[in-house]
Amino acid sequence: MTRFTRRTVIAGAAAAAALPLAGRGARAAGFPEKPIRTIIPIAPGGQTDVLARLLQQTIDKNKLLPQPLVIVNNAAAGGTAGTRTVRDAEADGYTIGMFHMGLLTAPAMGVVDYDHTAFEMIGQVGRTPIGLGVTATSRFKTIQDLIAEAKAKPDTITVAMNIGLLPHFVPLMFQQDAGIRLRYVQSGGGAVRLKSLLGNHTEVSLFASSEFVLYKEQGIKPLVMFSESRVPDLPDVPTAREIGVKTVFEERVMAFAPKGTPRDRLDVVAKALQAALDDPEVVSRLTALGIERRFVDGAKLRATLDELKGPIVTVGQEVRKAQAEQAAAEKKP
Amino acid sequence: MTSGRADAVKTGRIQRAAEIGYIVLVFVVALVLWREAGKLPPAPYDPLGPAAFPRWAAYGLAALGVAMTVRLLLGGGLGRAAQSLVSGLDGAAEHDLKPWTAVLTLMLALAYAGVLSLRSIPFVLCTGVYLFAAGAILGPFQGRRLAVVGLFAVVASVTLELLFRRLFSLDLP
Amino acid sequence: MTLTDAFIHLFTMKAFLVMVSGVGLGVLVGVLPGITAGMLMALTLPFTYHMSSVDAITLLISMFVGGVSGGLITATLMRIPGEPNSVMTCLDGYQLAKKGFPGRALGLGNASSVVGGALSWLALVLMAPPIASAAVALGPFENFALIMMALILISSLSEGSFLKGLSAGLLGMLVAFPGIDESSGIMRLTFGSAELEGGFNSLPVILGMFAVSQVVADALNIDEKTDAIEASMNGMFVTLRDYVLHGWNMLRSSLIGIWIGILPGVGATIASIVAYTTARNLSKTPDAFGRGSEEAIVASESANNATTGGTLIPLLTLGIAGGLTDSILLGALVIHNLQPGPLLFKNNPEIVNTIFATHLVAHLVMFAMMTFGISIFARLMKLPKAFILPMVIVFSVLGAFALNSRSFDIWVMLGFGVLGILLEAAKVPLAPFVVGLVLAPVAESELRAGLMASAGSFSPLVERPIALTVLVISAGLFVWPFIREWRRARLA
Repeated sequence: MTRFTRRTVIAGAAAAAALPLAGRGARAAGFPEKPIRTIIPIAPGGQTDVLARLLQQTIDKNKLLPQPLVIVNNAAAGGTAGTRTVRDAEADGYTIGMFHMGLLTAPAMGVVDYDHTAFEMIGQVGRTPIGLGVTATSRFKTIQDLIAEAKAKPDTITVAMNIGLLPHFVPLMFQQDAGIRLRYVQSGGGAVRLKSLLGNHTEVSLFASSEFVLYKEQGIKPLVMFSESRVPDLPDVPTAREIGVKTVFEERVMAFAPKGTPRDRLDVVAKALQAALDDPEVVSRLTALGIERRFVDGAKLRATLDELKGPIVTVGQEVRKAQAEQAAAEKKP
Repeated sequence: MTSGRADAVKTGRIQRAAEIGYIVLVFVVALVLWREAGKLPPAPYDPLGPAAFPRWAAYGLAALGVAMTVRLLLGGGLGRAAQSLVSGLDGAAEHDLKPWTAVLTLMLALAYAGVLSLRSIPFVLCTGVYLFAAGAILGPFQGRRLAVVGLFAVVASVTLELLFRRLFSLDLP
Repeated sequence: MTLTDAFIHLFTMKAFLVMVSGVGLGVLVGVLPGITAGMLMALTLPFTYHMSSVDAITLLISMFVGGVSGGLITATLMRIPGEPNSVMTCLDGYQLAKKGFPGRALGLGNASSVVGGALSWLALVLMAPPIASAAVALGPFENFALIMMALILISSLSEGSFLKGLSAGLLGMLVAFPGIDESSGIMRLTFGSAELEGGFNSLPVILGMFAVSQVVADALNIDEKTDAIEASMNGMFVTLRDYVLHGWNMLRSSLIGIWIGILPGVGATIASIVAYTTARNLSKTPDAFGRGSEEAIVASESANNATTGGTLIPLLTLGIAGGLTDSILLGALVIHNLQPGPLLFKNNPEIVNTIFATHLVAHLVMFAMMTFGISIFARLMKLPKAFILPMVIVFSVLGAFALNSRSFDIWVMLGFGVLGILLEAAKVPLAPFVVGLVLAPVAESELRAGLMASAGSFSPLVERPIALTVLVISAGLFVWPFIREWRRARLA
């Protein structure tokens, strides 16, 4: 740290006072002229947060942008408070967001009334393969065992989930596609679901491929993955397609900006993010985290999300059907 | 002595008024809670749903409200907390109380929060002005004291700005 | 790197400096009301990227330990909780200080903190794996029963006015309702407001009720002469006799702290409330509680420090984070390519041993720092209130805001400040309010998770032996204060 003389302190105060005015009326040529507020709608420490901070650090370190990204965590309301902040921010490129597929599942749950189309997509910065797993001592040795048991006794196999997010939605999709019925139990984040399985409180849960590698020692075993093709880290685990179930789904981390943000500014940020993803340190970290590093540009990402929206909305209807059944059950006795 | 007794009667009356106010609060909250709980849809997977706990809390509050009303009507007191977590509000003091200073302190805090959340006036300026104003009312208006408070306000607000916005790059209001 | 190596490493120049600055900053934010250890750690996290993983972990653990401890000073000297977990220390610490024994109050608190920390360290180092596997066996129904056991304390905390206390507990519970319902993903009690969808966070609520309201109360009493607090710092050094005298209390409160630390999402504030209430219920002089009781300070301060070791157990063995500070530690591990779990113990023993060594040594450093630092802080507290009180408000505003970067949280804090004043004026006990606020959401989500697994049947509550036992004990704890008061009334 530099030593503060009286003059630097006063100069600092003056500069600080002038700061909020500096960015007004900025032209794209000089973009960005002030720090870019990057909203992360989850608490510090989660995988999306770690990825975002890694990129922010790399952009800063390699001077990929003339101004830093400033990370702001807002985890309130299951992430919807954060996405709402981005949506309502001025579309000048100085506010962006980074979030996972919660962007699509929240509207399907009916928690918010906007989806990815309410934003400009900057690009996809990470993708993680996911799949269903059980304990090594489980009565299910293969995914076929599980499907057979679920068909014989519907609504008995318990799934540890995190409601409104992928560990809830993806098992639901699988259940629809495989024509079975599972019983859902609210649990929480990856480690909490792990604990629930290990204590035999629930039987099945969704994990990321990296979690399967990590939890192997603790006795968690993947039964099926929802990728297009087999995951290199888990070569023995079949994909859903191989067993004749069409479910394909992955967790994605995406960067986005308020609707109407000028294209050229989005490109500036996208270029910086893409360059950061090529940094050797980022490469090694992401490999360890089990995150695929391929950058997908805004237009392509938008098209993919449009495609994925269909199954997610269908699953949302499934949730409402379960709600209606619960209501009917309440009236009956 | 007589004035002491009059004071005791007065505090007794204030206490009773506060208790009636509290009971009203409990009933109002119970009613709002019960009404809102009625509007909630059932949950997809659990039989209790989001409404059960709020509803139970509403019933509990209503029952306690009735019990407190009955006790008051029968002439009994509601008792007082054995421990208070905020001290100096019971009015049993030997020094002069400054209710207006207290009210002003609260008002200034509200004004500070209000101006900050507008996000149009820089943090360092708001904080400096607030620290000066709040410091000024908490003591006599003497030139020398005010100068010291002013100096403190400038130093403190600039330090906070440098520390939180510059060093920690916090997104201050 | 073995544990011994880790200890030796801590005493190399660089590691020691990292640790001392971590503890120092932790104690400092602990002293500052509003700024919590969690906030400090979140702000420091980005700086740890460029450190070695051992240094990063040393720094964060030191901050974690220092932050839990520093709140004691503000609580004792100003009656404002420097950290939420020192709420209970305010009660007796300040009273004892006011009687002319601030040194004694701080010395006892400090000694209890280090004992609580050391005992939880033993639990962490010696028994982490067995405790973790026991914790895994506890399902939603058992967790629900355990939370009920703590929730039931509302009745003990309501002594003097059961009706008011129980209703305050319920009011606290309902503060936790607005926002997204964790068990169903449904928004509830938001009254159509987007801000309320985020709900009330417990930090701004507690800050408002105890810091803001106390600032206003202090403004009311601005003319009070506080010469008592200026009394000497005699008694800062606790003798062996005191450790013997309070030994059982320290042990019991530390065990409570460790247990609560292991439970997910409960935290140090509740640990100190539970330990305080237990000490009061078992005390020969329960009436001294709230009037400067030494036992009370010991109970509260041993328990909140003992949670540090407790929370690290599920964090290291399973990767489960219960609160903000834990998730930041977890994030730091992940950033440095370290995944908690049994593998961590096998593949990265240097990290596990660093955590173990730092946890203990940081407590000792904290003890030394507090011992020598207390007189400096005490002098700081003698600054005119005109400087201190507005600063408390500024720090609280910063602390509330930094949590989720929402202005709404600032309003929540000020609003609950006003509510705290009104409830206190109506002589409504506030401790049950806090218990309800923190525990009700955990109890609700555990019970409902259990019901989802059992397809709506409550029977596991009585069929599962642990759940049943705990519930029976809870029922006993619930009626005990009623019986005691009734007997006392009959004797009188």
